[in-house]
Amino acid sequence: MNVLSNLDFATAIHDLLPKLLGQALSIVVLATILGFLLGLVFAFLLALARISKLRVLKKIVVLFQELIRGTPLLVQLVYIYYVVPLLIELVAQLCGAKGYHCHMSSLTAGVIGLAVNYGTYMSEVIRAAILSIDKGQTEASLALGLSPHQAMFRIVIPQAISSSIPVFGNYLVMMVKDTSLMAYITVPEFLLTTKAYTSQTFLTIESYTILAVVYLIICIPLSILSRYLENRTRVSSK
Amino acid sequence: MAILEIKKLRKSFGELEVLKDISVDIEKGESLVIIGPSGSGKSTFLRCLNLLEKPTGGEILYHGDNILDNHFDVVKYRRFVGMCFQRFNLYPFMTVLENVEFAQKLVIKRSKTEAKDKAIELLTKVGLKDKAAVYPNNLSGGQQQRVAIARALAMDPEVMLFDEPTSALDPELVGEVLSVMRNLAEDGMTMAVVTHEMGFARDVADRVIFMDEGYIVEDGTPQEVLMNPKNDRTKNFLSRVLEN
Repeated sequence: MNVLSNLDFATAIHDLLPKLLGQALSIVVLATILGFLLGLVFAFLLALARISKLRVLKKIVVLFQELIRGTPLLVQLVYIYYVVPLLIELVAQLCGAKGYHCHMSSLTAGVIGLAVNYGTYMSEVIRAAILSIDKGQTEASLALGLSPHQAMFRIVIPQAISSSIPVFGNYLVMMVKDTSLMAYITVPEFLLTTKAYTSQTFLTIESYTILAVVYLIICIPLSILSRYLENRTRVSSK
Repeated sequence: MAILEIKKLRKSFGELEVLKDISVDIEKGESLVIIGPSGSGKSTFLRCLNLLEKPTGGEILYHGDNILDNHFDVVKYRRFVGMCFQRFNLYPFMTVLENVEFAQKLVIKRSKTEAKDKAIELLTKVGLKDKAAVYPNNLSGGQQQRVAIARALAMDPEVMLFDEPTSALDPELVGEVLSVMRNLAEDGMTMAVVTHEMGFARDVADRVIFMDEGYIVEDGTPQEVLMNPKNDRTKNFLSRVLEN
């Protein structure tokens, strides 16, 4: 008996692919874009807090970073989705608001989780980039009469951003793949959609192969783009 | 009248006392050249004058106001004291023209056209008008330093500080920078220059200071300090420098 003749890619492609490229794709794109942009903003705030002169703020940020880096993203997603709403209700009750019900959609929880996790890692990239900008840039700016604030935001940070862009590209590709973890908190992205389809049809080999190919088709061009940006930055910084 | 009066200036980095007792007046229109062995505190002294380093003690009076006073507006003051660095420190992500325009627009709030006219005028003066659209990394060191001078002059400074402006340059590029500085001195700009270029000190300086170990050891005209030094340390230094 030929095992291969049992494979039915035609059906799987016909049924599953539209589902993946429909709702699931829009969720993945939305979660990645929102998660990444929010993550960047968050990363900036953390980086600025860490290079600020406020010692207490610095300590708090370091502690927070350890917390995020010391736990898996999957656990963080679960925690945000299942535990954080309960904590908010608890606090609301303690403050006297009885019967307050906190609802957070799974997608919201997923986006927040991705943003916080990636923001924490990217904040270190930004911080390192800011510290790597030649001190002479700040000194020249101050000597021209810029305030320390202006020197930081108009001269140092723009250069730090452009030198971090290639690294951000890598994080973007990683985030696309990590949206799959949201399946665990019931976000109907690629993985959960595929899983639901296989449990109805038992086309396991076909479905998951299609899933892997879909990820590859999204991620490979992004990787190429980020490598291109990396080369370009390296040339221009010569 | 003295633009800057420096009185008993001291500066320590932790345990290390780099400036011990520096008193000197910088007169309007004067070009002052500061020479001395490395580690003698020349650069630190210059950097104290626009407060890139904060002095540990003493006074610096700018038109009679103590710039070390807590109420003194340092950011505003720095505009009037231009500085050129050994390593140029141009903004690499801006063109030459933008480098010269940038602080004019941000700090003095000049209009686009005003800033541009001023920038073109100064770039012409330093002989780099045709490089306006180029990025600094595509220029030679000498050209970069001339842009840096134009950038500092765009703020209409009263005093220009030069911190070893030719030390990072290939020998054949030193002349073009020195000639720009020479023109500046002839135009009556007040200048304080830390340099190892003895020829420049001899020809351009109104006054030469020799510093060693945080003190001013000798202070006089180029003739006095370079040709007839009284102090043994100055003689020693000059003989070593002039040998090369």
